[in-house]
Amino acid sequence: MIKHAIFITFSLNLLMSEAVVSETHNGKEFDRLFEMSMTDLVEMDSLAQVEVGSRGKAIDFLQTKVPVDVITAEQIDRTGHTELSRVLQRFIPGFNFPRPSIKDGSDHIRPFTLRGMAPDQVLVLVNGKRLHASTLLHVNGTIGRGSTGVDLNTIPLRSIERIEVLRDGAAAQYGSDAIAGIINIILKSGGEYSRVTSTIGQTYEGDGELYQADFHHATELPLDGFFNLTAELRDRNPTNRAIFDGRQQYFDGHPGNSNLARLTNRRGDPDTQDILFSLNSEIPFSDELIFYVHGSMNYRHGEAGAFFRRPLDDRNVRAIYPDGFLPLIKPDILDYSATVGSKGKTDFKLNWDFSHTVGGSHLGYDIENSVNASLGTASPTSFDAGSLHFRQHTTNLDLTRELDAGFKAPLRMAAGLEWRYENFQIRAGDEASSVNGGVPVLDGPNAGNVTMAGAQGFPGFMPANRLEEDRHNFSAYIDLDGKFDDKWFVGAAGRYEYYSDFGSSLNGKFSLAYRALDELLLRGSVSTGFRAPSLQQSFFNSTSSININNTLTSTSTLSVDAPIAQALGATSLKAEESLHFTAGLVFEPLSNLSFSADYFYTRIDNRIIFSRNITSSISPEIASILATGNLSAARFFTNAIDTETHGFDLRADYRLDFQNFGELKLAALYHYNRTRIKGGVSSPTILGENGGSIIFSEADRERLESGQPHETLILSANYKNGDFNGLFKLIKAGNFSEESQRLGSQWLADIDLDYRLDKHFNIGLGVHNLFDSEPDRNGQDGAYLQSSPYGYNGGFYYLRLSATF
Amino acid sequence: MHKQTIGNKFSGMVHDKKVLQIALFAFFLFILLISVAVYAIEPKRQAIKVVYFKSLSSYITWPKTAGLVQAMTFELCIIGKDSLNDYLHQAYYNTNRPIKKKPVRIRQLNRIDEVAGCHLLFIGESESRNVSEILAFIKGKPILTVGETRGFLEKNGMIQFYMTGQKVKVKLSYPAVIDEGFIMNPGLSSVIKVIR
Repeated sequence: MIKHAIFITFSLNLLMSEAVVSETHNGKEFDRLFEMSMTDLVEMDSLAQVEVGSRGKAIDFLQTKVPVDVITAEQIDRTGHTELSRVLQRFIPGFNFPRPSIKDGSDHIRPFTLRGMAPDQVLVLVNGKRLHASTLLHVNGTIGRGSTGVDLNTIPLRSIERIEVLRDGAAAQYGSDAIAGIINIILKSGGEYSRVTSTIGQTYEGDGELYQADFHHATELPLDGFFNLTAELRDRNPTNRAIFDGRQQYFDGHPGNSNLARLTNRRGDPDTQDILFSLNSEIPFSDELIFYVHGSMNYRHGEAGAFFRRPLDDRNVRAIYPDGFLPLIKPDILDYSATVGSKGKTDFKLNWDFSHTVGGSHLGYDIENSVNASLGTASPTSFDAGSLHFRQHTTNLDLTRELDAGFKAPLRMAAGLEWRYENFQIRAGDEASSVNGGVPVLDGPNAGNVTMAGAQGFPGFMPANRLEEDRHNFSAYIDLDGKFDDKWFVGAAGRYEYYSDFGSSLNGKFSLAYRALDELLLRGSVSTGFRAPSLQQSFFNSTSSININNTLTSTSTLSVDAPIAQALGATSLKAEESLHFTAGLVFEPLSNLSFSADYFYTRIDNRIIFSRNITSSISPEIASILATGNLSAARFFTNAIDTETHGFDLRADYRLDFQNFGELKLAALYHYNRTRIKGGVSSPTILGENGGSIIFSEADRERLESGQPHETLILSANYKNGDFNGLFKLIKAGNFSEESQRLGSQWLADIDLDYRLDKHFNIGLGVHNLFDSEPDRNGQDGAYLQSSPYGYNGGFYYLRLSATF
Repeated sequence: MHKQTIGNKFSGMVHDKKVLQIALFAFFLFILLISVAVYAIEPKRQAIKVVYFKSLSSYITWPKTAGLVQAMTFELCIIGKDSLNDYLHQAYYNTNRPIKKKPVRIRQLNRIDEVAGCHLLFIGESESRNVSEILAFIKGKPILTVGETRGFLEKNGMIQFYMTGQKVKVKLSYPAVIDEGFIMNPGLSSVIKVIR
C-alpha cells in the first residue's frame, strides 16, 4: 500500500509541479514579498535563526551543521499550555515529560528527558548561559530515577522569545550535561509591547481547574536598550484518577469493611500554586559597551498525597485517625537564577562577553495529615521534614573574532573560560519527623509490637543526614567555525574541564556540512562528551525505618564516601563519558517545503545508576557491615553500565498561501530512539557474581530500555486568516513498558482557536486531548501507570484572554 | 568489580510499524501537496530587508537636490561586508525591478568618500564601529540612510531595521529625514514606528 502511495504521489508531483520546481526559490520568494503591503511586511515572520551550536553569530536554523529545532513565542502562545515542559512536549517529538504521582518530590519537580536519555543528560541555557539543576534527586521509581534535572517550569512562558533545541551532543562546546542535547531559552528582547494574558480551564472530569494570569511589560531604553519584566500567577487544582481501594480497611468485624468503593489514594497532578518572575534587560553605555542582566524566580507551593494508610495499619495511631489517613506532602520550592554581565567589542574587532550567573534551588518538605506512630498519641500531625538546597555560581568569559583565513567567508573563532562553583546541602527536619519515639502499636491484634519511626508519607531528614558539600570546576574551550567555499562548512571545537572532585575531561567535536545542491544540505558531526556526577548523586543520604520481625531497623541511601558504603564497595563517582555521531540532510525542494532527516548515535560509558537495596540477607559479611550502622539495607550511586542510544528524526514543514483566504502551515515530525545496555552491570565484588542483578534490577533495565516511548509522531496544521488563527495537532506517543507490561501507543488531539477582537484584545479557546484518549492501564489492578508520557488526566479545555498595549 | 549480564525480557519485543507507516504517509502527503502549492515559506531576514527598500521608498519623496527625477537609475549603495548584497542583486538587478520607477543600480562602496550619487545608503552590521563617522560624512547630502546597528537613529541615521521576535520591524527618525529635505507620506506612521 505504501509503495502504491509513493508511486502515485511522485507521479502526480512530476506531472503537476514541474513548472514550479524549475523556478528558483528566491525569485518566487521575492515575487511574493514585493506584492505585499508594508503592513503585511512588518507582521511577517522571518525564518528563525539560532544561536546555540554556533557561538558568536546566529544563523538560519535550516543551515545549521547539526539539527536544531526552534519554537517561537507565537507557537508557544498557541499551545494553550502554561508550563514550559508541556509546551516542549507538543513540539519536540523526542521530548518526554511523564507525570509521576505519589513519588514524593518528583510529583512537584517532574523530570523530563530528551531522545530517550536521562534528565541530567540535557544542558539547559538561558540566553546562552547555563541554568542550574534542581536540588531534587529523583530517587523513586520514575523516569530518570537516580538523576537530577532542570525544572523548566520555573520560567514564565510569556518571557520567552524562542526556544532552540539542539539535537546533538555538544559537551565539547558547552561542557557537562550536553549529551542528549541542549535547550537554549532566549528571552524576549527589544520588545515594544506589553501584554496581559489569562487562561482558565479544567479537565473533562471537572477537576484540575487552572487559573493563570501573566503580565509582560517591555520598556525601551536609549541606544536600543530594553527592560522587560514578566510576572505570572498560576493556580492548578489537583486531579485524581486513582482507582477504588478494595482492600480490607478496618479490623475484622468492623462495619466499615463493607464499603468497597473507598477512594483512598490521590493519583494525578498535584495541587500547585506558582508565582513566577522573569527579567531581561540590556543597558547600553555606549556603542561598544553593554551591561545586561536577566533572571527568573519561581516560588511553588504544592500538595500531593503519599499512599493511604488504612485504619488497620500498624503505622496508624487510631486514636488520631480512626478511619485511616492520607499523608500530604506539601513542599515549598524556591528556584532562582540571575545573570549579570557586560559585553562589547574592542578596537581589534574582538567581541567579548563577561558574566556571572548565580542560581539556586531550595526544596522544603512539609508533611501534613500524618503521624509518627512511634510517638503514639503524642505525635504531631504536621512535620517539618527537612529541606534540600542547591546553589551554583558560574563565571564566563567568552571571546569571538572573525579572522581572514583565505576562505570564502571569515573564519569565526570563539574561545572562553568558565569557572563554576556548586554547593549542595541537606538540612534536617524537626525531631518528630524522624525520631523513634519507642511507643509500640497501641491497639489491635499487633498491640505491643514495634511500629515505624518518622513521619508517615515522608520521614524527615535526620540530623545525621545533614550535610554541606561543594566543588568547583574550571574549563577552557576553543570553537572554530568556517566556510571553505560556497559548498563546504566546517566546525571544530575542543574543551578542557577540571573538576575538584573527579578530575579532568577533555573533549572534542568536529562538524561538517556540504551543500550538494542549492536545495540540499548534507550534514554530520562526531564528538565526545561527558557528564559530571552531580553533588546530589555523590552525597545525598537519607534514612527510613523498617520493621523486620518486630525489630526496628533502618534502610539508608548512603553517600558514596560513607564508611558503610565504602565497605560495601562504593567508590567516588566518575564522570559519564559519551561518544556521539550524527548524520543527516536538509532538503528544500521548493520554497514552501523543507524536509530534514537526521540519524544519531550516542554511546555513554560509566553511566551512574542508583543501586537497589543491598540487604543483610545477601551474605553474613554484608550483614555485619550493615549492622555497624543498625541498617538492614543500604543503597548508593555507582558507575555501573554502558549504554548505546541510536535513532533518527524526520521533519517536514510545508506552507500553503491561499492569498485572500489565509495561509496554512503543515508540519510532520517523527522521532525514533532505542537505548540498549551494552555488556553487563559492574557491581562491587562483595556482592558476588549476582551483584549486577542486585544493584540493577529488571525493573531498572525495563525503565531505561523501554520505559519511554521509542517513537513519537506529531502532525500539526496551523491556519491563519486575518484575525483568526487555528491550530490542530495530532500526536502519537509510541508504546512503552512499565511493571513488566507493554503499554500500547496513545493518540492525542489538541485544538486551539484564537480570534483577534480588535487591535488590543484576543480571545482563545482550546482543548488538549480533544477525544479524551487514555493510556493503557495496569493489567492487574486497572491503575494508570507512572510513565505514561502525556499523563492520564484525559481531556482538558480552556479559555484564554489577552490584551496587548 | 563483577560484570554480570541480566536477561532482557524485552529484547524480543516486536516493533510496531504502524507509526512509521503513518509518518511515511504524512511525508508523501506533503510531497503531493507540492503540486498545488502557492509558494509561501518564511523568508530570510535579508530578503525582507531588501524588499523594504522599495516599499519604504514609495512612502518617501527625495529632495530635488538628490536629482532623482533626472537620474537614469536609482543608486542603491551598500557599505560594509554584509550578506545583503547577494539578496539585493536577486531582488533588483536580476529582475529589473524598479525603485521610484527607476532601474536599480547596486553599488558596493569600499570607502564612504565613494558615496556621491547614491540615493539610498545601507550601512551594514559590519560597519557598526564606523556608523557615526559615516553619517557625519554624508550629513547635508540628500541620501536616505538605512542601518541595522544599535542606536542607529540616535546617531542621526534615518531608518533602522530591528527584530521583534521573528519579525523584521522598521523605525524612522522623522527629524533626521526632514532635516535633509525628504518628505514622508503621513501614512507611513501608521505602519512603522516613527520617532518624532
